[in-house]
Amino acid sequence: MTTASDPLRAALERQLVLLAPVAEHLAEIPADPLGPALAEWRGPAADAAACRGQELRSGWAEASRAATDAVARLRAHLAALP
Amino acid sequence: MSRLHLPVDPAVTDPGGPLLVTPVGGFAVATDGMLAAADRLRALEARLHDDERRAAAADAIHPGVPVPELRAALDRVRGRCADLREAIARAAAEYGETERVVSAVQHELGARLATLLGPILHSAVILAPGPLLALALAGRWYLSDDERAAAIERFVVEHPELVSSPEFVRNVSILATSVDDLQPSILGVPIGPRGGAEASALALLGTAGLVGLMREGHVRTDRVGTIAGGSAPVGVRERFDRIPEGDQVRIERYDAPGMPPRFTVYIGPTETFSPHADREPWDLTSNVAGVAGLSPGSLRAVEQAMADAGVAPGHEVQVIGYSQGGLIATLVAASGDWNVVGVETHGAPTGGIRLPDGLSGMAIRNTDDFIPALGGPQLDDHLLQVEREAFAGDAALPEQLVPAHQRVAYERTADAVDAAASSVVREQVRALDTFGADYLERGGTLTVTTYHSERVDGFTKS
Repeated sequence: MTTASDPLRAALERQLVLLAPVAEHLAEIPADPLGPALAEWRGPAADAAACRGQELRSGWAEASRAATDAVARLRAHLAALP
Repeated sequence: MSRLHLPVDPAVTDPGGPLLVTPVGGFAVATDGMLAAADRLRALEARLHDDERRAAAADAIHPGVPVPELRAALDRVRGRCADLREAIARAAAEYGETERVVSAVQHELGARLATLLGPILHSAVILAPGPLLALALAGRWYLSDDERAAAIERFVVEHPELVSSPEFVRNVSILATSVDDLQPSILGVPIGPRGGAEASALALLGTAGLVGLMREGHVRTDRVGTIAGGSAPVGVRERFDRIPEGDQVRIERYDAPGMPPRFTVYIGPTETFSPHADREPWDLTSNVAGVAGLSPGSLRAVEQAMADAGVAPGHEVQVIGYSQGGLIATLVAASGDWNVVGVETHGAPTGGIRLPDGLSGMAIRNTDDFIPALGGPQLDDHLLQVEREAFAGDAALPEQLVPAHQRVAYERTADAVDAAASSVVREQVRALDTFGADYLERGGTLTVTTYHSERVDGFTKS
């Protein structure tokens, strides 16, 4: 016997399968791709790159939050289903 | 001049600076760390692209939870990855362009200074021959040739800072490309079209020949020994360690079932810096003749050894050399007479030698070693260039003749190249590594032959 919530549950579960790895990826990879390169690099171009690196880190944190929120919302919806 | 001078300690922590890398086909100079960061960003972009595809697929599912914020955030962060990668590329391009412009201006000034200085020296020779002759004779009277050479060597060893800075190296490069302007200018003859280090070396050979120095002769190359077995080298340091000294050439022959043989030729460094061409072909005469683009005795010796080892024109060959050995390795690759597929040089004066397309390997130099600068600025762009300062910052300089050119300095640089993180360097190291290893993994064999060469006639003994 099927219920009205079955298509929604299937859709939410499918979304969760797609988005959980995205959230894990964004949470796991440290947003410091420049590594030690900046230490051996001086001048305006290095300063500009450091600035871009900071923007990347903040953007990464924002994307990580969005992914975590999306996964949390999906789980909450699934938990609320009868 | 405030640097400390210490006895040589091979176990000392690496005093070298970061690796500077110039990829094939360009003049952008980046540190290995910057290139490795660009590699990481490229990988992140690919991963984020995959994340975006997942988010788009999730967003398209109905009924479901829309995720437009996540898609927008992923798009922004991937864009920032690309921005940062481009910022690194721009910085490398700007650095390379600045270096190129500074170098071009300095070489042009050097040439102009040489043409201006020439008439002054010319006048001095004409107007004041007496004092000049007296000075020259006084020098000869007080000190013998050997004593003078020993005194100069002692002074340079005790003051390594005089010849161990990137600034000094740049000046040597300028001088190497300006001798051809200075020499006719002193003699009071019109200046011809400039030809850089090659023309300077030719001018030097011509002048030296007038006083009986640097005269080439025939060479004879003999097998010293042959050993079967062993493994292929892994990494730059292992290849560097196989470069011979004394017996100047080592050839590794790799055979595999059903395949044509492959050869790796290791070529040793200069054995003597005497300007008198003598029995030793790995000498100053071969260095200058090599930079001049002629056929130095050491090149002919290597080609004799290659022919004796069974290298035929179609066989794949790698050439590995240190100092003069690197110069000769590059000349072998540039000659077009051999099927050279890989080149690895350490501290070689090869800047003006045009190489063919498609070579694996790299030219490795210490930027505080002036020997490579004797070949003039790096003009060819067909081989990956990897450089670093052997004694960076306030690193203590050992009391050695040209510390940054010594074997131990290039051993450390070879270790640094093996530890490189960027794909552009690692791919070339891997390409050279697999050359012989591929054959041995297929059940092949390795045979190592060592050669010694001497000039036999034609040269002028002092």
